[in-house]
Amino acid sequence: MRIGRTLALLAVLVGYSVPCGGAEEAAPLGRVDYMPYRVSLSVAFSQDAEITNAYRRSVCSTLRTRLAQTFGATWIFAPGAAVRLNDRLTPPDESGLDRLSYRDAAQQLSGFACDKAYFLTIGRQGPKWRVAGREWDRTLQSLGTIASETTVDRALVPDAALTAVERLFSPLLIVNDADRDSKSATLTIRAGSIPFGDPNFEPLRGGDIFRPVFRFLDSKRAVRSIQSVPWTYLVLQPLSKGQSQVKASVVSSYRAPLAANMRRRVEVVAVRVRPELSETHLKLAAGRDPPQPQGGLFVSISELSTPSTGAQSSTKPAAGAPAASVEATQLKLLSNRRGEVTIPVNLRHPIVRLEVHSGAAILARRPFVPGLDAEATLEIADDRVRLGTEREIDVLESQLIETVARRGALISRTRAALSRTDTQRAQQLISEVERLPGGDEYFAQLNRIRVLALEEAHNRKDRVAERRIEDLCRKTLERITQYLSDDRIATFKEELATLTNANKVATELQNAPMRRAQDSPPQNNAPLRRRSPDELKPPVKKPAEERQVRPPSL
Amino acid sequence: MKRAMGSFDISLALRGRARLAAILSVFVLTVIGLLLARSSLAFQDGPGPRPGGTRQKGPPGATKDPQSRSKKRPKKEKEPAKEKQSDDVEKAASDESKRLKDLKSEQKLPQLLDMSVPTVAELNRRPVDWLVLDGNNKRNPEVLVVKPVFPRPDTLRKLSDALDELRKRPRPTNPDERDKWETQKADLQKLMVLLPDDGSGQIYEIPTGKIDHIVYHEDLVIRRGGLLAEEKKFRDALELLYPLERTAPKWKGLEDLSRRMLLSEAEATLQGGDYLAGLMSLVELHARDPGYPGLHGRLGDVTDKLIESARQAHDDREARHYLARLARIEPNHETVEKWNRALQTDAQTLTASALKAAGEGHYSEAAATIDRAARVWPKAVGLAEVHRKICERYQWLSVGAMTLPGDDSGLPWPTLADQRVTRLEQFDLFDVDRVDDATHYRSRLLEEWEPTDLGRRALFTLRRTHASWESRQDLTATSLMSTIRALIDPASPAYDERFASYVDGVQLLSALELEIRFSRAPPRMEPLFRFPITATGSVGSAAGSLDRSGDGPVLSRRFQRSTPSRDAIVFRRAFPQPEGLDQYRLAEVDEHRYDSPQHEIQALLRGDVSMLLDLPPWAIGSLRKDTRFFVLDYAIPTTHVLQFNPNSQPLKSRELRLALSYALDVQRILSQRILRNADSSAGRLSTAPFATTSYAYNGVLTRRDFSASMAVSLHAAAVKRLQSIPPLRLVCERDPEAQSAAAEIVAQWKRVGIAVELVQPESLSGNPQSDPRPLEWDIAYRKLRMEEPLVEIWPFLTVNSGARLESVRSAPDWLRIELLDVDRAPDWKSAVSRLQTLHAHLYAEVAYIPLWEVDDAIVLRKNVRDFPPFKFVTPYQDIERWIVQSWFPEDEP
Repeated sequence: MRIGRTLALLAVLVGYSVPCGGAEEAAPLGRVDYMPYRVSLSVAFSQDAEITNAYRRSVCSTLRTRLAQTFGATWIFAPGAAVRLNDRLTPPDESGLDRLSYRDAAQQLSGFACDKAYFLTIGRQGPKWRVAGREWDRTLQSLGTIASETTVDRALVPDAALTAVERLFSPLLIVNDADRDSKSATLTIRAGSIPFGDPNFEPLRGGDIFRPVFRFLDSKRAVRSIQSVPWTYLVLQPLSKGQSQVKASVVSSYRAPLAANMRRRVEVVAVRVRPELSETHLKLAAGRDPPQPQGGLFVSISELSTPSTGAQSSTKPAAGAPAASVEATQLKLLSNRRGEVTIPVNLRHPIVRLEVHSGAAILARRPFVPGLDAEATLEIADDRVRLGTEREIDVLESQLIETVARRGALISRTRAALSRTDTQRAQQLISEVERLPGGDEYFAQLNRIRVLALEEAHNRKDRVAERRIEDLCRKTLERITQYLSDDRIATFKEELATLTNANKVATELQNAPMRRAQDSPPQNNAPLRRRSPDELKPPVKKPAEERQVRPPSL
Repeated sequence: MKRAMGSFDISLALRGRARLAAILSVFVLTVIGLLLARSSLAFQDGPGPRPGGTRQKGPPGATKDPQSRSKKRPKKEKEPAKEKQSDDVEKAASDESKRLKDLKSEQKLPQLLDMSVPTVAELNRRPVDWLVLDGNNKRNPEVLVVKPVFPRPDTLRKLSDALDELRKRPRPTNPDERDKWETQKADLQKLMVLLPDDGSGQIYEIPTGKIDHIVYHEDLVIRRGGLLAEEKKFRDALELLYPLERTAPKWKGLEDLSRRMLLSEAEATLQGGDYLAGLMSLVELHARDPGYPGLHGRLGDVTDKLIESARQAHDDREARHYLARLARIEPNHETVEKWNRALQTDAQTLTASALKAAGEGHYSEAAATIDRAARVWPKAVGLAEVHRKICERYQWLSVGAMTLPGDDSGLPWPTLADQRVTRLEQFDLFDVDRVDDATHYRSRLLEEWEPTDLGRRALFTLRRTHASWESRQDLTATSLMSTIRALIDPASPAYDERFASYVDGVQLLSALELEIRFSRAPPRMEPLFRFPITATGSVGSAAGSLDRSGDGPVLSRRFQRSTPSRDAIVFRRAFPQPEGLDQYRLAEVDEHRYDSPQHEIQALLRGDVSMLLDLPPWAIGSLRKDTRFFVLDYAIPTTHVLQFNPNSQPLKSRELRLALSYALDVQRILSQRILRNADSSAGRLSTAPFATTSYAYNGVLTRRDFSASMAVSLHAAAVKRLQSIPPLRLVCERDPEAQSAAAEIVAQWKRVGIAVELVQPESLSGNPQSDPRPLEWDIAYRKLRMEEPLVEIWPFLTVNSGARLESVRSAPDWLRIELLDVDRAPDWKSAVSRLQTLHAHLYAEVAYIPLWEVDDAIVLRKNVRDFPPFKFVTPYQDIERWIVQSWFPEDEP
């Protein structure tokens, strides 16, 4: 134990004594896990009577000590870039941070060789002291979200600032390899092999969520462009302390979001993300020129289970963020006229699956971490053609129901007429049934709907819509065939013909000159005649329900 | 009958008078004996042996069958035949007399004192007369009950007079004429009667000398009437006597009994506190006998009490009615004079008070007082002049309606009454002015509204001032801007999703100018801007607005409520008219509730109200011909529709919705319950929740015909799918017409096996103390007038005040998108086309059951002028501009 502490202290001292400019050189070649972060930190104090120069110096000095104690050798400060006063931030408060852009920050940091920089503001807010900060990252060329801390004790301001920096710090991970089948990736933690000054400090935990970013390099290894992988997240699997290589599950709406770009001149970096906001406004849009907001669509939000989501995660939202946390496992949101839905942060499941529904179709299925950005846009396919077809088919089915019901009613009346041997009425009713729109008419209508919709979808080059339209029409076709088959009418016609013939024969027999007298005993009634077993059974009565008119089930 | 008797007497005459007399006396006695036996049973219902049973064939000397009589008449000329016949008669008479002597000893006639007056039923069933026979017992003579005798009344006297007259004539010399004379003489000495229970129609002769007097059926009726009156059964007595008064008004005792009875009835009703009924009886008695003892005083007392009672109830017209009633029959009655003086004095006092109040500037009070004075005594001297003066300064209009705002506060939608009053209380930035094939708007606030930048912007210029007759304050662009900002701010409770989807922002250009920026150009701008202006900084908007809701104070006010009561609401100008105007306009609207169209019309004719709003078509017909009134048709007919609750689980089944639709014989309900006339053209079937004349109406659609068998089939299919269907709940507003139709609809559904119960919102169930629970309903019977279907169809479908997407959550996806598409229509033509398509799809989907539309009308007394010259869109359209001339009912009530 003592040896460990001594080693850690030694490492801190070594790290501290190593000149910053030579940090990368000090690390073994290709060992990112031994490469510390070159950091710059500046503090801007708001104008206040209680904030004197002495207090400022005191805060900076204390903060530097705390940072050294916490981050140890993993952080090195460029000369003059250690905790320093920032007088270029205007105004020197949270709004100034909010206005800050990556480029402005880079200008402020010119002359300092650093990978990460932190801009802090300290000021009073009523009786409290408020510390806010923002992380600047050269690797990703990004400026992070604002995180803040408050304290009531003036003396505890450096501690609050340290807490804010701890929250702002996003470790960088390099994606070494990604497996398409297991949907997992191996990552190396920058400075992961260097111990922190505070052994209890754990910036990474299993379940933390990372966003992969492609860094496209030129032949001189200079960054040509940086591109984040949309709708893709890496969820860290459980890890042990001091581990520099970690595994993460790949959660993406794409099959192989990382593998495709694992080339020599492309670096895949993963940056930890943590929801700082309580919600994200997701905008659904179709097309690009201009994007059409898709209002009135359902967006269902459900939990997304990954192998590591159960682990303790430091990706949990900030203390003030999850005000709108939702415990429900599934939410069904409806996009407004601007095509927006507001997705709240879920404390237990920071990463969720969102599905965009349009009628019976799912237009998009994406993993999503709400609370990272205030606004996000999801581009979806324009489903108007298919939805229009769905509507037309809905109307057609409504007419089909009416026809089936009308036909059922007429058939039941026909059956009643046949049972009382009223052939004329039965004939009349069957004619009425035949006059109703039959299957052929509905097939024609359906075909018209189908052809027009397919043509429009084809013109839009929307193959998915074409397939879905075909599916819809096929199902409807089956229904029409099922409920408007001509078999039943044919049966009734046969029955009617039989009855008519029977009547005709009976009439002819009645008028036959040589007909047998009515009182002559029929052959069947001969006293010695043997009867078949069927004849001896009493006639089976149909249950009352069977005899009643049954409407065709729809 | 007489001829039969005559033939018999002729045969007797041939044998000689002495012999005739002997035989006749024996025969008559025999007949009497037989009759007594029958008559004694006349009022005895028991069967019993009939002593006269052997006389069913008729006594020899009594009468002959009419048929035999006609046969015997030709034989009169042949002597041998006559001789033979008289021998037979003589023989028969002797036989009968011998046998009847025996029978008579067994029979007994009822005696007069033992007779009870027949009951009403007996009198009505079988009229009878009592022949009181002359006998030894003068105090309690025997009575023979017979069918009504003729001639009547004074039968005996008339017969006697006729006999005397006959005797005075010289005896004929001609044998034939002499026979005839003899026959007549004999007839006049006898009374021919029929027995009440004798079904054979046997006629009997009673010598008049044997009859003391006759108690006629009419006398019995009068006696029974008297008995009923003694039992205070005046209604029964009057019913009994009424036919008699019609047929024999001069019958002795009838008039006297009627008078006594009227007085008794009056006294009885007065004792029961029913003065009006008492007065009616007394007036009736007065009509019969003005000088009836005690009538004069009683008339005065009753009228006095009635007038006092009416005055206490502030019903001066009723008081004048009683007074006029008495004055018509007793012009110089002291009560008439007393109340004439009192009412006149009262009216003059009120007139003076009204003048004083007007002088002090309390015009509403003055108007109320002078109106009261006009109702107390319209003929008061100087009243008309004062009334005209006050009415010119402060004009008010009394309106009759069957529903008042708030009557159906438990309903989740605003009723027509709510909409009417909302429009009266406030105005929108744009109001509907006229409706023909399109909807036309105007704005009270805006001088100009010009779309610019191809419709992406609009410049609004507000009016600097307002007309003297307008009831509004001058508003600046700031107020309008804050209202618009509240509507587009998602954080504001007044946020309007649809409005915000069109309007991007608003910019103030000057105190009276602002510019609206649209994110996309609306097909028509005006329907979007139908909202009231709210106070600056208030979070709410459109308080009580039809389309939007909020709770901020409204700046665009017209009228405001004051002194609401259960059956009346008074609205006064929110901004009174200034002094010194040449022409004043309407200042006050008083709405009164009536429970039926008949009472509404009664109030109009009595002069209690001058305007009727919601009279059904069948009731308007008579008023159209009345030259005292204007009948003004609404620009939009009232559509009746059955709406489904979007959250009702059973009604998500299309089969069930179709079954509900097919089960209704809508044409029958329309004819019988709404129009009450099969030939009326004031109503027609519809397929939409908006007017058939609307641009949104798809005229190609055909209605589903009534088919009970289809309904049964579809209901069975729905049951099969849903397993079981709970009883559905139909909610209906308080309107009596709608209630009647709803009851019939429920009955028709019941006939096909669909259980539906009629429910009412909590506020209508008469328990205002309890907390109103949210109304649970599946189907709603609604009456509506959709002015702009483009923006109103969405709130209608969702039973919600706005057009929020969240409210169509339960609708099919295509319907939701189609509604959005209607809102997103780039131009008017596309909007109309999409609306018509939507109409067709909604009808196919059975999203509602359209019923019919009815051409309602407004009835206005002709003392109102300067109302809009075109068809009204809302009842109080431009009402600030109306002029109500002085008028009060002067007719005698």
